[in-house]
Amino acid sequence: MKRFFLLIGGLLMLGFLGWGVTIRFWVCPFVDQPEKFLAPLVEKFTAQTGINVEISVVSYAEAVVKYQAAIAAGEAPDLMYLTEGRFVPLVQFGNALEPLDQYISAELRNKFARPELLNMLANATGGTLYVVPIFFVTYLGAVNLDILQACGVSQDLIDKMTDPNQAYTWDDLLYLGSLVTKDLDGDGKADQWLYAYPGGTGWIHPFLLWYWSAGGSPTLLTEEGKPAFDTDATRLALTFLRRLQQEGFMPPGVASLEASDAIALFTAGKTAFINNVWPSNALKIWPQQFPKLNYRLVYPPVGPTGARTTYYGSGLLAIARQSKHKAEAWAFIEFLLSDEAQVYLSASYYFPITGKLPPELAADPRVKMYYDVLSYAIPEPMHPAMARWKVIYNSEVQAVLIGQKTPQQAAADMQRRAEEALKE
Amino acid sequence: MHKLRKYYLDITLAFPGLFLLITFFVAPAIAIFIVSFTKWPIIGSPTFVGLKNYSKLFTDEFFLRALKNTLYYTLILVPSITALSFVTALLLRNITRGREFFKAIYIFPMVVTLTSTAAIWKGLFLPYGPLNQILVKLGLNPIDFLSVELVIPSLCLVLIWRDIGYYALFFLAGLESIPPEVLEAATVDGAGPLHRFRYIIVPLMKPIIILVSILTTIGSFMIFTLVYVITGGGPVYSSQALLNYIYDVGWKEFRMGYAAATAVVYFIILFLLSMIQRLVIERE
Repeated sequence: MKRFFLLIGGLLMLGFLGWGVTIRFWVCPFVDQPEKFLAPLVEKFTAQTGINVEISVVSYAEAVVKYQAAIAAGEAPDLMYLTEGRFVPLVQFGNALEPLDQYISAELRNKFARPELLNMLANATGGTLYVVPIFFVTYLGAVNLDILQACGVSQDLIDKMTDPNQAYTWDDLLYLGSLVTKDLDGDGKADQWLYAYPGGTGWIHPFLLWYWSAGGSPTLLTEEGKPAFDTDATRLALTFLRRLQQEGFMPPGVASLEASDAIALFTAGKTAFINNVWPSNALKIWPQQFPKLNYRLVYPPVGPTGARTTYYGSGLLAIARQSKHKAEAWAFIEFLLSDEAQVYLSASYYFPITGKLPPELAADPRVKMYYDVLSYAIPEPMHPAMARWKVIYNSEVQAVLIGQKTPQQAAADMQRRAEEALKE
Repeated sequence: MHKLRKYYLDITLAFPGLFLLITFFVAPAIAIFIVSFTKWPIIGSPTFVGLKNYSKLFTDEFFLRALKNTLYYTLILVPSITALSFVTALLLRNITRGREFFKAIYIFPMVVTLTSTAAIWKGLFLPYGPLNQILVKLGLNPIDFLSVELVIPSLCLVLIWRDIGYYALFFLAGLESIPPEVLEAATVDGAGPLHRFRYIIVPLMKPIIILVSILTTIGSFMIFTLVYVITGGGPVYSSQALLNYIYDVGWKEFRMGYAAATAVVYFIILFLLSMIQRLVIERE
């Protein structure tokens, strides 16, 4: 009889500790087959805690809708993978996410490479923290050294671009453009350029990299809370892009180029400079696919108002408010923020948010550059109207690139359309 | 009840088909109609806004531009595909050796998925792509195929390339059905090839010409993938077709109510086109 009660007591204790519980984790494909990539971590976590983790993959495009459908059906996954642009709608969706302020300890907060990012995430949702980043990417630029050297670009300028304590400017880029833009085959037309702006993109950041560099609002809002498009920053950014085009420093047809086309032009040695280089490209894919590409990563330029910024994106985790296993879900988040898991996650070339790198990456000076820019990198604006604003500003940039509008007209139209979008 | 019992077996047999039809076609269509009277950013519940979406639609410069673009696609595609597929069929008919081979070659673009086709042509159209490299090698100026002025004709070029083989089969079947003795009699009476074409072949092929015209008209109103993959509707909405507009409003801007209203108007346009098609075919 005593044994029976001990057994029952033991089982109850295991149940209390979460042993045997299965949490459902829906994740977006931050790597090919994330369920396989995460399997060793899950195995280790299960061995340590007895909590099983069942992983399902949802595409980035469908993530918010699928999460909402699951929440509405009362079948929300315990743990959800999100990004800066995706979590605000879920917070607004009937308070679907669990506030995490009560879970996160001061000690854990201090582990983050840039703790104030947690405050930025909380500020996007009225001061309450609903998501915790587990890894991040920032963007660097890159230059083709072969082109620069063949065109007589001074080592001083190259050093200015690659030294975090120095700075190069938009004027330096124009000067660089005048040196590297060339007609190599002698047919009277340039076939090597400075930079290809992906004017046909639907992405968020290509324009924002220039807008922020010109001193644009990180949140795309004025202090009064209005859209900040009819501003000097917009006009400066558009004027600069237009000038690059008019001077012939960009290839023809940039208004239709996708971001992948811009990357293809750089890796094919057609352009000398690119400003949206992901860590996975710089450190893994390009060396494998383009072994002859002699490139060097560079810091972002300093804009005309003295601003130096780049883009920051992260993988965020949130717990569903309706989850019956919140403690277990949080335990998994804590596990993913452990040194061991963070080191493992860096194999995805999204960098550990705690800065805990494996020795080979920690020793790589290029990785240090990605961490250097983290201090001033700006996350995707988390405004609910961002989806529409993105469409609006990309189309207005296109209008400038094809000469249909002046930068002033485009900035004014951006503002008008962004305000209309808010009213709707 | 007695009558129902009489058709019990018929109803049972039709039930799976009816169930699928109602679930996947009728119910979504009704849902779209209802959503079109709401404001619904996917998040939360829809809010009823009455006819606001519809009244806004006809003053919306982007919707009107998409409609205009779609008509432009139609104006280029219908005569081009109809004429070129007719010509292709005539050529195929006169080939005595290897006709099946050429038929297969012409039908091949239709077999390849449109997404793959679009991805390939996107590469061809690039300012420094193979087409422009050929032009430069020939001493000509490169062409910005995806510029505001040329983007719709360029996209139409892809669709024409893709579709003429398919529609040529319609014409070929029609040509095969023309009794040879009619043509022989005309030849005996002194009719040359042009006269035979104008006074015998074209009148007899009229039903096929109408059918192909109607199918290509409806097809041109259903352009989506090519625009989505090659230009995304740009530059500056200059290639955006109606379906792309509906998709963008719904899935990029999350204005489901407005997208639904656009879809209802789009449905009405297609419905009217189908009615015209039916009337014309019945008359012929």
